[in-house]
Formats: sequence, C-alpha cells, structure tokens
Amino acid sequence: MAQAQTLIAEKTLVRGRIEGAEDLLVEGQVLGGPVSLSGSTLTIAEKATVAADVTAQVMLIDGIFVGKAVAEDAIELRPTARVLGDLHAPHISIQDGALIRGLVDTGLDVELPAPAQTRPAARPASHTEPRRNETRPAIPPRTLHTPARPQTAAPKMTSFESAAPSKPAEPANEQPEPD
Amino acid sequence: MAETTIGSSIVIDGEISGEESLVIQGTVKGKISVTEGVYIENSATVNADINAQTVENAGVLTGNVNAQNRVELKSESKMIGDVCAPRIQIADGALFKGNIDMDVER
Repeated sequence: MAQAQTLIAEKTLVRGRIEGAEDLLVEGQVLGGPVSLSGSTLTIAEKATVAADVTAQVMLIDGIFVGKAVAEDAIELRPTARVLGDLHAPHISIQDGALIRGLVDTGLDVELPAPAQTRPAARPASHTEPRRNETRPAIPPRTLHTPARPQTAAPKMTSFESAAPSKPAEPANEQPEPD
Repeated sequence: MAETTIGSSIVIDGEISGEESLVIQGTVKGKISVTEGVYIENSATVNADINAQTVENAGVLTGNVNAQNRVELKSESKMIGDVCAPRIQIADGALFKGNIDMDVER
C-alpha cells in the first residue's frame, strides 16, 4: 500500500477529477477536483496546493487546502497548514500554527436544545423580530397602501387627457409652415 | 524521485501539466503536457493527447503524441493515434494504428 503511493510532484499541476484506492501524496498542485480516495490517505505537502473537494480515509495537511474535505477516519492539520473550507471527519486535529477558516465538523450528535438556539443566534438582527408576532400582521397594511396608489394614478390619467388635446394643436402649427 | 507517479488504482480525468517526468500506472483521461518524459507502464490506460520531451508507452494509449525528442512503443503495448517526433522506435509486438510524422523537412 505504501509502495503503491501516487505522487504528484512539486512542479506538476493536475486539473480535474482524481479517483482511486491508494495513498496520494501531493507536492505540487491539484485544482478542480473532486478527489476521491476510498480507504486511503491524502497527504498535502508543505508547499503543495489542493483546491478541490476531497473524500478520503485520512487527510494529512501540511500545505494549502481550499474546499470541502470529508474523511472517514481523520483529518490532521499540521503547523504549516492553511485551510479555507469545511472539514468533516470523526477525528480532526489542528496543531499549533495551522490556519483555518471554515466549518469543523466531527459529527457531534448531542440531543440538546442548545444547537437549535445557536442557529438563530447567527442572525442577531432578525432575532428580535420573530418574537413579535405582531410584525407579521403588519404586512397586510402594506397591501392596503398599494391599492391606494391606483387612486393617485387615476388623476394622472386625467392630466394625460388634458394634455392630449394639446397634441393635435401642435401639428396644426406645423401645417402652416409648408404653406 | 522528482517525478510524478499515478498509481495503478488511480483514475485522473482532466489535465496534467508540469516540469517533471510523469509515470503512469493507472488511468488518465484528458490532456498531458510536461517538459520531461511520460512513461506509460503496462498496467496503464491513457486516453489523452500528450505533449512531452519523451514518451515511452508500454500500456494502452489512445491519443495523439507530440514529442520533442523521442517516442518509444514497447512490445505488447497498444497505441491508437498520431505520433509526431524526430525519433520513433516501435518494438516488435507493439500494436499501433496511426500516422507518424518525423518532420523531416525541418
């Protein structure tokens, strides 16, 4: 298994889909993806870049990873890792020095009301409005305002009618010119 | 060891480019463009146009090959596609269907 390792070396770029069932070491660049390694390890070396959605057994990240990672076993972010994206695995370790922006999901299934409260907490501005059920009846008054607009538009029509008779007067002025 | 190796169970659908040698044991579809050699081993299946310095094929290759130096089709290899290279070597037993252009006029 270790001898059958696939290597994408430092000056090589792979753009596209990668599938397989053996360990993959990336020292160069992998863009696009997706990368799918069933039962195997993806290692992203320190100067390597992987910008792809990855599915693997284990992911060891020393370099740059951008995308969504789903590991059946573990994801390990070494001190030089730079990650922009989501990590899903039962075991996720982030070592001191690693940088990550994104979701870290170890599959926490806790039956608590707390997760339901944390989701609306991400929207603090709308948090106060749903508590007031009175704000929802405020929408029908808006519909009451809209029928009022045709009433204001109706006198505009009368102004067009008043402007209409003035238009035939203009060609009347043009007719004397050819004479 | 500065060469890229695509293992026998790996399937790549896309483009491989680089400045290193490329050893293919698995399956590659798409396009290959490297400044060194491409070595297709007997377990490999390649369905791609190849641009490289040297191409050695011992597997199954479908696609056009443009090599700056040399193309070698080893025995028991298969290839369908056109070859453009100044030096071309086809071993006894190799299966090949395609045009060869050694660009003699240059």
